[in-house]
Amino acid sequence: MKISHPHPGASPISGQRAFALALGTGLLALLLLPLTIDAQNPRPTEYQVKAAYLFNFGKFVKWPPSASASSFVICLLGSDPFQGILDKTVAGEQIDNKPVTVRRINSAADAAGCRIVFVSESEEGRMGSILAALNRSPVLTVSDASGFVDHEGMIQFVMDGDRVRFQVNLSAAQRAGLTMSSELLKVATEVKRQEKSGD
Amino acid sequence: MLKNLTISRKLTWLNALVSAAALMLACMAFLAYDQVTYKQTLFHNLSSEAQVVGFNSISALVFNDPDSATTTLSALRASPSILAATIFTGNGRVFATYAQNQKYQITEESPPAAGQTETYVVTGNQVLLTRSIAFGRKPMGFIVIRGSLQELDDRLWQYLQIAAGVLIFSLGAALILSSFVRRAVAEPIVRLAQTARIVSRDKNYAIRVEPTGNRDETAVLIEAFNDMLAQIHVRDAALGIERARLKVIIENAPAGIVLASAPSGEIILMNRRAEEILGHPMYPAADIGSYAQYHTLHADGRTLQTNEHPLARAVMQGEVIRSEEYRYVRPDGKETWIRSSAAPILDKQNNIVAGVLVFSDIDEQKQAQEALLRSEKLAAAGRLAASISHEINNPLESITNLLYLALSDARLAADTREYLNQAEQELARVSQITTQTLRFYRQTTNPTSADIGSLLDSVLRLLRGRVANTEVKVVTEYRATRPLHCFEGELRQVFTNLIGNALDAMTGHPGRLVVRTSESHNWATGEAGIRVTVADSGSGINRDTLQRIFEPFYTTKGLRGTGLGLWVSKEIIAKHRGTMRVKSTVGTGTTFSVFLPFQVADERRNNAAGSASA
Repeated sequence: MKISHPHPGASPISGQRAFALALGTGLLALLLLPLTIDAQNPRPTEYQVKAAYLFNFGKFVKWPPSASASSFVICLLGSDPFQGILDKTVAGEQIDNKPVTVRRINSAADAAGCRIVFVSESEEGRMGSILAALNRSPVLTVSDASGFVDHEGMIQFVMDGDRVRFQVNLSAAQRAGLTMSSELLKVATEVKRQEKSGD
Repeated sequence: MLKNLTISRKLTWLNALVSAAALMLACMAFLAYDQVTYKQTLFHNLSSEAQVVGFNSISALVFNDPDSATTTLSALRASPSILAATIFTGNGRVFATYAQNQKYQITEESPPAAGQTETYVVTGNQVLLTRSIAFGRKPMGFIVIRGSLQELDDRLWQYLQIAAGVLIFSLGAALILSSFVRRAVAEPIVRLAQTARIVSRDKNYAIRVEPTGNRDETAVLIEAFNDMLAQIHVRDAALGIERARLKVIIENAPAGIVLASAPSGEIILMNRRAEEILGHPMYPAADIGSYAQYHTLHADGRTLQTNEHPLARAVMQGEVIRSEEYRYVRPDGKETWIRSSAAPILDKQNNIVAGVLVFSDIDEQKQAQEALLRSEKLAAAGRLAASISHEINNPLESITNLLYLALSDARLAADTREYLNQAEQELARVSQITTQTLRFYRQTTNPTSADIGSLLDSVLRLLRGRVANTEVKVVTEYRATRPLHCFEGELRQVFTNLIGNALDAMTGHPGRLVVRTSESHNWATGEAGIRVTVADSGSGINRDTLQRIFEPFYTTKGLRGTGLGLWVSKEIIAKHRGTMRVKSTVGTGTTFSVFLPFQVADERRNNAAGSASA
């Protein structure tokens, strides 16, 4: 795989909640490698970064053997803020020698077979029940909803200026039987280790 | 460089050199090996660091966290040999950086070429290692590390110091070891050399080199040297004996021997006899030119040129000279006849190395020849006189008879008778002279009985003319009365000689000649006989001359004497079994004492010495 550079003509689009992306930019983003994160111009959009992160989390987390399946499924719960970017990001990629696929689900109950569940901000109201349901199975829960890690969510995107960063609730992950790489914890802005003991 | 050093020094230096060379080579090889391996280790370490840091920076790169990468990089502080490190993103942008010192900061570098994960470039004592960082198979960026090779130099320096230390220590050890080597190898040779020096200096062939007890080449050398010394010793001794023999022979040879070396002609030896003959010790002659000092004349009186000397001819031309006669002029001016032979001495290549001259004094021979000549003349004169006397005797007889007849004539006048008487007396004298002359020279064949007194008187009568010319008073004391059985003529010769000598000794001075006879005994045998002494008050004879007066040809009278008188006298006395002795005091006089036994042996022997005296 060749290293490519973003299209020089792509204009920087930033904004905490911006999700409208120009079609050309989207098309160009197809060519972008998820690892090519450039702090300088031309700058990828917030959700391009998040999509890349979401995919890469899969490489720094170890699932218990019970989670084995024929493909590595990333599920999107609720409204899709990626606008198809995620699908393009993971297209053709593999994790643990399994093809990565994206599935959209509407409730936590549909999460069977998912390795990662991205909980959209739209589900903020039901977050408690969703997490309670998801946490019963080895699923990595990720969201950009604020306070996510405080509610037993495992990884929460936060913005540091215009940089996308994330917080980790290690205890929650451990309770779900997931092992997080120290490398991942190293780059997290915050790692929570709750007093509450697991099951 | 080593040429003039002693063997032990050479060995020492060789040891040191070999050790040093071996050590240097070993050290160089070791150093080179160490430098290469250490460099590899250094690179390997750098590579490992790059790998670890790169790996630990993957997540930082993935999740865009330069702080985390910077933290990771700062761990390199623990490696002092890493001067700086920078992580670049895939598109060559600086992601995180670390530097020990700002000047080492890496701000720009290109990623490793496609297909390579790691490259390095060495610049001076720095190495720049570039390693790509991949996540899975995806390249994430690359890390560049600037490593210092200073340690390599430090290590080289340390190793050089250690090598120098080892070298100095080893040289010291080598010098100590070489002292043992010297003892084992050099010392016997040194001893050999010392002995050789002593031998050549003192010519002492009796000393030997002490054997080492080993069985090496040195021992063989020492043994051979000792053998050689033994042989030389034997040869030297033999040579010494030979030389001593030769010396005795040369010194005591009855001929004069002179040796000269060639080609200079330097005279190197002259024996005692040569000095006696020449009348002087050896003149130092360094070359043939100085032979002129040896003043030699040809038989005709010409002086020899230096190159005419027999020795010069032998030395220069190799000429062999046999029995040439010359006259040598002695320092006292006297000349002596010498007969010289000379020959060159040649070496094996027939080069003339020396010359030898042998000569003898032939003066006596020459004088003998002369004396012989003269005595032959005298004998001829004697015979002539005898025959004349004999011839004169007959007319004298007639004249005597005629005078007797004339005197018996009574008619003679008185004065005529007187004249005739005188004539008769004068005639008697003539007759006596002829008779004496006859008797004196007559060859006596048998001893006859004679009165010693009248024999001595006849001698004195014969010498009357000579006595008259001197101021000598002659005294005779004849006490012997018994006749003597003797060869009268020969004894007359003896006494003529003795009395003649006595008169010679008193020439020019007033003197007294006493002739005595007495009956006596030979005090050795007790035999009875007559002693005759002839004493003069002349000049006397000195001790040296006294010892030689009975030698033939010895004379003090120069050309007037034959040197035979006393010798002949002695022979005659001996023939009569008598003895003759002489006593003399210089300035007072000389006394000859002759003893003759009454009875001479009944020998019928012709006397050969029938001639002259004085």
